[in-house]
Amino acid sequence: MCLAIPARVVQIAANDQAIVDLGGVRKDISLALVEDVAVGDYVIVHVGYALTRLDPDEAEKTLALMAEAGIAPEAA
Amino acid sequence: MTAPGADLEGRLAITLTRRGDAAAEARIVSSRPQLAQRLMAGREPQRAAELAGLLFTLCGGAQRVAAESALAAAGGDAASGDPAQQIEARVLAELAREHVWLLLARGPELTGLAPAAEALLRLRRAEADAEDLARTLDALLVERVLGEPAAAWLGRDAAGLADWIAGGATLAAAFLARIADAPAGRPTALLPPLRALDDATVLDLARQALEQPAFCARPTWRGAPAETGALARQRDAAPVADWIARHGHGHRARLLARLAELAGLPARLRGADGPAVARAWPLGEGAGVAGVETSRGLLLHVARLVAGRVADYRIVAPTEWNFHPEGPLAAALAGLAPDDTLADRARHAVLALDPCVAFGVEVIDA
Repeated sequence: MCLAIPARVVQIAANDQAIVDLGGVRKDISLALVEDVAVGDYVIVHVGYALTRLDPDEAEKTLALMAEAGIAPEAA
Repeated sequence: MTAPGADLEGRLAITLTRRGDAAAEARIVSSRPQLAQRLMAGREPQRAAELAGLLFTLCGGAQRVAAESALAAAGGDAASGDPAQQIEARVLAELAREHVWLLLARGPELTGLAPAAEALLRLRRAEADAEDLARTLDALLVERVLGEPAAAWLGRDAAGLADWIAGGATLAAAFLARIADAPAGRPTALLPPLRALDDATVLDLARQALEQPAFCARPTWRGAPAETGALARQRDAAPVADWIARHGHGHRARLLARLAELAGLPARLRGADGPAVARAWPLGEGAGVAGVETSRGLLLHVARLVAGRVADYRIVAPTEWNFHPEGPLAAALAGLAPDDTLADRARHAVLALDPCVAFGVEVIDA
């Protein structure tokens, strides 16, 4: 079970590189596998790649559900 | 503060200990958390099924199908709410995406080749429509994966597949050429694929998952670890069977099985008959189990309802079968020579089994 934790894109650099915020921690990731991602969007990250772009409503719903289950307090 | 992602996703740590000239000793430790019970308990079945689709990164479609089917079976319905055709299309699309991810992106990247991100983007753009997806996959198979029409590749024998790998004409072939093949140090049973799972086996797996939550972290079949995934599903298909007969269950056998499965997907997406990709069984007394075939292997969900809400929920995921401390990876690592290429060969063994979380390989000289 690899949990799909939404990460917020905080900075986009050249060559599809970006920085995301995941519960207060920043990580370098690649956007090569997703299209039309802007700063502020949420993405699902796996082994350094953003795999899916989420709309903000969906991302917030997921984060709320995780918080409700007590598994991602910092991220919510 | 630690990143919730890192903690919640978990990872696999593989440690190889070298003692002089003796074969390295392998240890596999998984920190993947078992969160199904915590996430699902107390919820209404409909909400629980939606949640399953939202919460999982790589196999959200399969998780949702498994959850809907298991919860429907627990509630006394044989089938989930969605039409069978729609379920199959969703599972097959995810299967295609995950196979392409390993063969054209993750695998090449970890073996020093440039990943083909654009291939995945093309596939994803086509996912909404089965015919569009089939057409895109046909093109990708010829251009980047097989280098020839699927039927021609599937007609190769073991020698023809070896020639194909050695030729390295496509990114997938070049990736396989970089995977140093090694037959398993000791045999591991192949878990029966979903189509061949008999009721008694399913009921036994489900009962163990419900009664002993630890079973979900280290599942066994007939008292021993077993391998699930493309190799287990494709073992009798012509090119894979011929390869296994000559080379055994090695890394390349596993990857060739994925290729064979991927090569057959356009026809399946166009409606050709194939083995079931999702099945469910009521267990009585408010419980039900469902299985879905994913790229990494069999995904089982087991649910028990009390008074219309989830009381118990278990997930037995393929990574737990294939990365069992004494399972297929352990068998593949057993007996690796303690030379300079040890860490790389261990990484190849892990890659061929494709864990759904990040992994690390460490070599220690004792």
